[in-house]
Amino acid sequence: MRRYSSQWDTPDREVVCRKDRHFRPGQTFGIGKNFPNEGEVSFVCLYDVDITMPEVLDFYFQAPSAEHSSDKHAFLETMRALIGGQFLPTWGRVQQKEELEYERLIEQVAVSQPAHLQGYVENVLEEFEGFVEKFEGGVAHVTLKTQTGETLYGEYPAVELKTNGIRERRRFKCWTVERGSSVDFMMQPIPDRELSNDRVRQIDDWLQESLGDDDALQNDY
Amino acid sequence: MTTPCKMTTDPVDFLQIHVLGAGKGECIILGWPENRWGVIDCYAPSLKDDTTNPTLQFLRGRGVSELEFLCLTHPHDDHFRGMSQLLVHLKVRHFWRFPTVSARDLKLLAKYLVIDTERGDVAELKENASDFVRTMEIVKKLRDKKEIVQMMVTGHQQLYPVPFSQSTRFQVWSFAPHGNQQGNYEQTLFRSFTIDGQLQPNPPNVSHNDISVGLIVSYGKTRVVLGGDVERTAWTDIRPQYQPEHFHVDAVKVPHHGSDTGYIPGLWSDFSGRKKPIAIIAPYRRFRLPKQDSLRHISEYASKVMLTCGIDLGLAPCPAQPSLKSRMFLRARLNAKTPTPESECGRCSLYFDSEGNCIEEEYAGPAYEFVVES
Repeated sequence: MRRYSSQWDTPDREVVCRKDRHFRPGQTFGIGKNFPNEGEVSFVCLYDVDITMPEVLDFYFQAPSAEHSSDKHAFLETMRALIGGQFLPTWGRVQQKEELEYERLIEQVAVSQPAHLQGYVENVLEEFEGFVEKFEGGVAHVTLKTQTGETLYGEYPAVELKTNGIRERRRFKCWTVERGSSVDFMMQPIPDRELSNDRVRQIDDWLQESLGDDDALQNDY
Repeated sequence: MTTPCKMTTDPVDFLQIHVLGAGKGECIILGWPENRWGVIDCYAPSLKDDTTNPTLQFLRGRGVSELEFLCLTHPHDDHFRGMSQLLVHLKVRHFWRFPTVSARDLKLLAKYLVIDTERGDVAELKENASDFVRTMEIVKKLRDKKEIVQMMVTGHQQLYPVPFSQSTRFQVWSFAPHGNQQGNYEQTLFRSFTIDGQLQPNPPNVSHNDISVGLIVSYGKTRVVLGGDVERTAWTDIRPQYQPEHFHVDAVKVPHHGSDTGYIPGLWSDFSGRKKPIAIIAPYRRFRLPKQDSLRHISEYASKVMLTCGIDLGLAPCPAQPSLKSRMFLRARLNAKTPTPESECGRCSLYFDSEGNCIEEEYAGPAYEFVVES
């Protein structure tokens, strides 16, 4: 049995892990009432890893799922800390709530690698580079570019993109995948380009030179 | 349903309103007697080749080399892309721009745009951010040389002529949301930066439409609303500031590309208070704007709805190749479409006399009249 400490919150919080599982890149697991429906939180594995999962995995099919999004946030952050970043972070931000009780979360939330998701990598139908043009209410306007350069426009539930950490005016990778008789849509964000300190300084200098910094009146009449 | 129409008169003593749009971005060109011209917003497909800038093409075709004013309603790229080309090639007397954002904060806004787009690493967006900086840089240089006069529009203001005169036939007034909404916008912008001035890793979304300026143009008794991208929240704020008669107009450049967020209950009733105005829409096809519901609503209150180009109907369903299953899924789940090739820029033009009468209308390129199916 291994013990993992949450790296995110207080060091005295611990979750017990005891089961080994193997995950391959692209494989997904999630939490939610009716996974993989809307509103779920899903995880995409980035690397081929043997990972020791927390015992909460065992609750996936037995326990009721989390009902509150704050619970999902907290749970996800815990999970992310536990597995050392080997899964794609799907929430951009931590919303730490007071009185989060991990025991309660563990009771409520169930996570696993559903059998119907296994091995989908072999059944990728198409791969795209996506781009979120705009979130408009619950709808995300997305552009998909195929590997041959063809462009498709469409709309997609914004919540699914957001829960996968994909932001407005950002690119993402996505795939249509075949699982048995059904087809599904997988996605993961393309990380932001890191700007070096030199580049940021260069931009600051350029803006300074172009726009100045005088705070004079903006109206000439 | 389309009703193409072409007219050929070449009016000289009228107010001319030309709305340009190719399915993304928009530009409004106003012309009035004595060969005077003004431009509101701009969208150019290429920043490298200014001969493809439809606004420049239009003005050059009419021998125009000077603008009385150039107005940037808000800092969205579909409204400013290519504006720097206008400033380079035309003499512009007055530059009006969206409210809030002092000179120092303008630099913050520019930094937000530049760094955010560099992080996202999409070439076109980076290009747009650079063009915003370039536009503002040119304005600053021209101001320094006293060759342009700038006005930051903050609400109900008399913008033209300068100095203002009630007796002038051609006048331009502005409307904009009040201080609270502008303050919220600035707050969001400030919150995007750390104390030491670095853009946050995941900054809040700054909604530029919240500070969009709108204009009311009057020419004698003719009144026209140019709605920019003014949306619901701003209209809720703006409308009670005026008597309904203030918005009794003869033509409307429909706000926000005909989106259902571009109006509030009662607004179009105000617009049509005196008579049904002509509505002109510059569609944003990528976002499937105008919306069908908006078109229906606007059609109820407008005597005519003009579109600068085709709307969603022109998009072909995605072809069922190379993978039938994948494409069937995408079509069902995302309503995925393959866009038609970039269309040429369409133009809807209206010519008004000073009594509120539309003397002529003109459709150029893919522009057409939209008719609601009965």
